[in-house]
Amino acid sequence: MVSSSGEINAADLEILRRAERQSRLWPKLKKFCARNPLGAAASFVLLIMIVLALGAGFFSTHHPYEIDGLQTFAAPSSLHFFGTDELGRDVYSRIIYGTRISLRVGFIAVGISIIVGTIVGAVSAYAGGWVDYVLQRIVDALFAFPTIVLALAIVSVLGTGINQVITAVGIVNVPRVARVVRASTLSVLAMPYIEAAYCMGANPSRVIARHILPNVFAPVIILATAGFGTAILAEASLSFLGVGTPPPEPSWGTMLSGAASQYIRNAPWMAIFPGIAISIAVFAFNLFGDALRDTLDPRLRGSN
Amino acid sequence: MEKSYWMRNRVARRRFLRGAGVIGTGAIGAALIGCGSDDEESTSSAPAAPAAAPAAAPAAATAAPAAATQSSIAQGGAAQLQSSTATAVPQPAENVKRGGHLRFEISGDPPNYDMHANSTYRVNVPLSPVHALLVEFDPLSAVEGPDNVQGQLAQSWTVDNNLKVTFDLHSNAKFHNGEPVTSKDVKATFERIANKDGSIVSPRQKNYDAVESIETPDDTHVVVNLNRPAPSLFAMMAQGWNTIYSHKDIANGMDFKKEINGAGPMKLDKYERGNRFEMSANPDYFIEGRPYLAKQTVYVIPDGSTRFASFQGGETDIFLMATQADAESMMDIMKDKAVLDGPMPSNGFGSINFNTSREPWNDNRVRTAVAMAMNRDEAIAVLSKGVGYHGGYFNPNGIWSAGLDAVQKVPGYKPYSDALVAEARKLLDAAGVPDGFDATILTRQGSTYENFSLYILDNAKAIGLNFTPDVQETASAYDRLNTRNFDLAPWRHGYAVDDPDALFGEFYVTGAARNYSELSSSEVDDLFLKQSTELDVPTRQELAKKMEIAALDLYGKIVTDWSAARMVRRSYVKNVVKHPNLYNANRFETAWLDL
Repeated sequence: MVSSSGEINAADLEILRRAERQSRLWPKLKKFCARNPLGAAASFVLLIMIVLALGAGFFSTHHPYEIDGLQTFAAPSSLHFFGTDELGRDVYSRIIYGTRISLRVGFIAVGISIIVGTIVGAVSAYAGGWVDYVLQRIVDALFAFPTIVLALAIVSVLGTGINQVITAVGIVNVPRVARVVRASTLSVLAMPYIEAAYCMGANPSRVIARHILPNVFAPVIILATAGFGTAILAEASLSFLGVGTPPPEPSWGTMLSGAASQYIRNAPWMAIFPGIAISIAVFAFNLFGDALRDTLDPRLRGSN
Repeated sequence: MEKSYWMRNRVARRRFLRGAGVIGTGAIGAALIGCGSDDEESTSSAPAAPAAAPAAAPAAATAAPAAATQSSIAQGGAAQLQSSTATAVPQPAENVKRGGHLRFEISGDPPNYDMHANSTYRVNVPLSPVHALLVEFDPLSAVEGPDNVQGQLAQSWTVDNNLKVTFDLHSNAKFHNGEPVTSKDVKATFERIANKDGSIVSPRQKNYDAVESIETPDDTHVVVNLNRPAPSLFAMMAQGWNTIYSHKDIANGMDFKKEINGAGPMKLDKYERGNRFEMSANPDYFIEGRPYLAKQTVYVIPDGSTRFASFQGGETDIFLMATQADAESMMDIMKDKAVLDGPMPSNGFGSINFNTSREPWNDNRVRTAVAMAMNRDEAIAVLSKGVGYHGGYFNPNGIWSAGLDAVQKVPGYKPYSDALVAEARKLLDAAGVPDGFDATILTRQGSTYENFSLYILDNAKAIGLNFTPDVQETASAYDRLNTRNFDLAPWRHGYAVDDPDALFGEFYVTGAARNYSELSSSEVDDLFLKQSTELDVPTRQELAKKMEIAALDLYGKIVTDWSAARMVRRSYVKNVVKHPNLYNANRFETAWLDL
């Protein structure tokens, strides 16, 4: 590791640095867990969700589309952990596969809202003047509509389907991100290091990319984690209203609507388990978002 | 010393509220299901109790009118058109209590008011009390057939040589706008339904092919001239759809989709879309002393749970759209406070329509293969929730059916087996699509239709066909169906009269309004004409059976299952009889409440 001249070669140096980083990561993780046990628990739940989504085929006991006329409305049992629905489909397996849809909606919709919202917010704050005015009036207009109403309107234009739902959910969250990013950008623009960057000859795109965006990233991350829950709930709501994920996709919202309402007295598990799944997912994302904010927000960092 | 986590992290109000809100999501989600939609075309397709024994009609059903039993399908009736003598309107029993307010529900708004141009119960059920019929099926008997036809606006009729029928009308009937009901109105009504000028979409226009002309010698006599004997004429005319419109309204171009002017026992006071129909008794109703009720309210309640709760909570008196599960649960709760009528075989069935203008649906072998791939036991289990029946094109419990044995000799209707699926694959191979193909299933929004599509999708996989549901809102789905913009269109149908003329005239002969596959054959058309003019019932039955088998073999429409009908009512609701469909006996003019 150490050469005869007493120097450490570059590869070994990298290994040492990595080991040092890892040794710092673990205490940080422990600290995070100690300071935010709920956040840690939420992270664990989210990790489980991701594992379930990736390994849905492994963890499920039945195919989510498989109809079994002899097993309609079967109560929860060792054969069907969460019972079966009106078509004899295994509710447990559908919830496991539904995790994929929820995470897919969450990740992509949040990605859309974060990317578009950040661009709109940063450009709006940086450009100022009429650009800011026009963009903010558009944001105001979007804010004027309740989230689900706006999503319904967008889906009615785009048509039903999982991609349309993702797009709609992504768009309805853009204003919130844009407004937060704009506010953060305005405060960052007033910082001396921005002026310094200009003095050093940096062009606007470099200033935005290298100096502004990294400094507004913390609130964006918090918004993103909070947005996951909102996105999952919005997808479930749209599916519940019959304009979301089309059958036979096992969306949690779809599972809650339709036949579940019709048979809730006879087969309550058809509504209970998807409802619990939605609750846990949204709760976990919200707690995780809170914990992340506590960690990343300098105003809250260190406070109790 | 560092404080514990719980001491450090006192839950802020905002966080608590957020947490509580999120926790409540599940409960809210479950509660939200009360807003779900239910899009069934009729209760005849309504499912039954989970894992319930199909034949296990609750004991309370014994309290239902005796007619609400299997005997309801013992129809068919008279060989020839028979004259009727004028009979006095039956006087009410002494214990009738007048002035009640009857409340029940339907599951969705009607597309419009026009009875002649619609086929959904959402029009028929709420608006029938506003209208009068020329003749009707006895509302107090669940048996519907020519033998049970009685006059309504017609007080009697005479039949000459099976080619001429003269109706004698009540002279004191008035429309709600005060105009008298005359023979001209009857003539204009049936001419509008027959739709010779193509002015409306008339689903039942083929029912009146035998009508050559209608004459009105005076205001109270209508003469119907036939171009051939038509043994089912009265049954056709007695359908609840044939409400009498004013000839002046028709001539003046009244928009029947938006306006209403009937001669029935109730006047429509108010209709709030998505909410309710409110009706009050017509003081000028031509039958003295009727209706017994002072008011009727028909609520529009899309959600099944809300319908259940409404009845249980006393907000409705009749639970019209009860599924078998609802009915049994309700009877468990209500005990002797409610009466379950049914389940009874209904005139409702599930079917798959093909767009034969598109390949490969124009190939009979492909359609046959799809028919073979359908596991009909599973259809009854999952679509009719165990309370359903196997059958072909005629009601399997009626007198016109070729019988299950004969139906199951048709290749696509053989009992499901692996061998049959293998045979279906061979047919696809022979049709040049050995590896299957992709197609879309037009799917009307709502769990009934979505589940129907999923059932088809699941069964079609067995022969390598990959179907994708194309979910459309109800109006859009109807539009796509009527404009033939689909590959496959699963649909649940109901019809008013189990009669070859009514059924085949509506669904299977050339040019039938609801022949969505547009497939027919000269053999079927010839048999249709022959049976339609045959006065001897056994001979007509034989012709109908041949016609059914010939039509089944075309696979223009594949029948998956026949369903059951039922109704729960409060025990104080008197003089209401459940019929095997939702299209007849909906005026409730003799109903009364024993409160």
